[in-house]
Amino acid sequence: MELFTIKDLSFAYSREELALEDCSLSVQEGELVLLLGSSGSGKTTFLKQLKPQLTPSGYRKGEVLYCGMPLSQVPAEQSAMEIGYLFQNPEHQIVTDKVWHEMAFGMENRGFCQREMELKMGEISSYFGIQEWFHSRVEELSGGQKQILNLAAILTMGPKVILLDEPTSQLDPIATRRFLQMLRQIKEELGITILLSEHHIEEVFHMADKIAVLEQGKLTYFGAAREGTQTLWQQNRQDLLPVSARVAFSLNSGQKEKFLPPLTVGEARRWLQKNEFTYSGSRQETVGQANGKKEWAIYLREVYFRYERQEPDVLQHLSLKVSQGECFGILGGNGTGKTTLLRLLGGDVKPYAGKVKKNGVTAYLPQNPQSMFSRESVEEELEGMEPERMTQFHMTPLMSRHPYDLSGGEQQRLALLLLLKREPDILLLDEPTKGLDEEAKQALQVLFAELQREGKTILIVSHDVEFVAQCTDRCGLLFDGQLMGTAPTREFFLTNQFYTTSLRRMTKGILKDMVLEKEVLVYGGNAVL
Amino acid sequence: MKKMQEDAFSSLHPVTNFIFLTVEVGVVALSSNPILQGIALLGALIYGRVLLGKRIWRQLLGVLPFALFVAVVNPLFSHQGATILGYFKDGNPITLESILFGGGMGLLILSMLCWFLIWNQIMTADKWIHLFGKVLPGFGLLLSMVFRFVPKLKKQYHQSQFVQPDCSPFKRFSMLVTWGLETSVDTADSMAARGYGLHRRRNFSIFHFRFADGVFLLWIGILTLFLVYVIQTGKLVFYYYPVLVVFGEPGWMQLGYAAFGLLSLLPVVFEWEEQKRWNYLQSKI
Repeated sequence: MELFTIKDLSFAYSREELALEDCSLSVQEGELVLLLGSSGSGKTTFLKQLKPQLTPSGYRKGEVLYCGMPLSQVPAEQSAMEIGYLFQNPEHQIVTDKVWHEMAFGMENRGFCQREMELKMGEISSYFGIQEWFHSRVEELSGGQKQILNLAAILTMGPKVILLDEPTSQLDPIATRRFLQMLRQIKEELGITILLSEHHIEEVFHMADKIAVLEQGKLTYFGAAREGTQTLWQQNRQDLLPVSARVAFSLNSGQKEKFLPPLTVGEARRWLQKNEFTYSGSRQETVGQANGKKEWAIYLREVYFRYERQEPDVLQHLSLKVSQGECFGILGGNGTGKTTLLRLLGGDVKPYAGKVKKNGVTAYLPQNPQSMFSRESVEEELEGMEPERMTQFHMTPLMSRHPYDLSGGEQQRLALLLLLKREPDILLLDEPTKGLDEEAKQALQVLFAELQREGKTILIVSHDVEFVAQCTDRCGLLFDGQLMGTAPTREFFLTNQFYTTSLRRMTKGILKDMVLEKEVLVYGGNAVL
Repeated sequence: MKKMQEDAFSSLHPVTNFIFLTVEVGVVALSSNPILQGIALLGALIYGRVLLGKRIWRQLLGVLPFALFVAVVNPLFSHQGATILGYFKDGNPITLESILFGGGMGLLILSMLCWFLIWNQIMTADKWIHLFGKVLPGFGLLLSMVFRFVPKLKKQYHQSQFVQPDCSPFKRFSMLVTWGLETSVDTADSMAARGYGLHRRRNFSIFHFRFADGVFLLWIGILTLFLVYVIQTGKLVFYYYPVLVVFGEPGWMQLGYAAFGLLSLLPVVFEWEEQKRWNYLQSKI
């Protein structure tokens, strides 16, 4: 049965610009459809068209059918219960203060009786493994747990389809993985239809039955996922492909016949081995990062820190030395103390033992860039800034906008620019790529490189392995309160098995010493078939 | 503040907790009988010791000054009473009765405050929401949302303090308001998406009324009615003015006080009973 049938849907918020143009697609029951596209391409607008309670007001043409019936004619109660919607930010969509209450919320709205609610809650809590934290306060949960709670809360209402708007953008890799696995489980075991938009393409592409690609409000492709990779490759939308597919296409560019590329690291390895791609030659070092003796910017020697006397150390025996003009990456799981380390460097907290020395002014960019905004327009925020800086950061077209109205990438750039107002020498960045699409990340990379050239030192704390691999000079892993395995970036990622790029995991043992994609493309010609 | 242990009385239904406390404080406030108030105080201290351990003494010390203040101030304002001990500068008499009354007031305040300390320990956010939800259904959800929002706001405030340390308090406040409004839009969307407002809401109850609740309420009922009967029929009398009168029918009077004593100690007795029962069941394994 077709759950959603969308014919020539067009939508505009105002008379000037079309947000969606002539979109047509259909979603079969039990499918997982992945919605791809850059920031601002209309994914959120599209998803909201399918949920009557959230559809924004505007001008609409075309039709949306739900189970054969026009969506506008579906009773509100039915669409509220059967069409679930999960938002991007795990924090803000939680309404109540307790886990049990959040799970009961939807059912309470519907007026279920006590017994029905109890059974449903018990059933779904067990299914999701939430029993442990059933009585917990919401604020005690991690981001990943919150998002799972949101999913569970939607499930109590018995949905037929769940719409998800970038659900893992605010989550770390482990939580992302867990959440997407949960999603796959409910799709396969419960037959619930899933329609989601994502930037974490690597994790989710192989799970999709169909993909829909939006570009500036137009649907440029809708069809089977694996077949769709070819179209994306031909349309020059490689940024929407998983690494495995990209590598396969670039190594296969000689062959003319159509083929279905691998979509996961595992598949890619098998594909590389089957096609006997090997490379064992030597390769020259890319732009030398070891610039000889330089002044240090940050010097931490055997630092110890804890929040309360009775509590265990958050940081212990931590040593770190960062040279001026260097870009240093700190990786590590959630809760290992990465933000604490940055706060320590920023001077917000002081260690109870060890030396902290900084050569220059520090500035801290928080995980949530919105904390930095205090004015009504971008122009006001950037008062007193040199115009060159503003052009460098591409802020000129955004001058009259309210900071909260900017996209994720734009907000991140604005926050970074505000940071520079204090003329810092050392930039401490906490998860700068959270929620950004590929284009925004690349823009950030360019900016970092420029700032480094100006002599600024950059310290990045991030989960985003791919990003860190591309823009840092050296890296370290924060674990057990210490910084471990500090090494030049390439060396760091060549050694690691898990905290490394997809490309490395794909090519380890097959193509020698490849960490970044561009290396494969450069040496693609030399790969022996 | 985390509780030390989950005691028997706290695990009863919030309505039971509420009725018990209302009755207890009600008797203390309405009877103006210092012996009853003293019994109530004793009950609070004993239960408080069970509930909080040694910390109860520190909390008692915290409320003592206010009670003492009330006790001392009364003779300055009230000049009723037959037994005159002396005169103020302005000619008003200092009477024994007003001193005693002041002492009684102090005792009243003290015992009420002690019971409120206990109340504070027992009542969790969930219980508040449940109680309010019974009276004003929409309010229960609102309270839950407030409890959700306040820690979020605090976190954001600390975040903004760290990120922008040099910011005027007005500016910071306005930033927080903007942030709060912005995030609330998402929350409102989330509520609408799950059908808020489409139907009559039914509050989920995380608390269940047990047999023990029934028994407990029955005891409260019996003891309170007995006490009221004894007082109303004049078998237990206490007057301050014009002269101190402590009077009652022998036997009945003692029974009346004993009844209230038992009432005040009901939580402790209940805890003791549960402990005994637990030990008994354990020994059977």
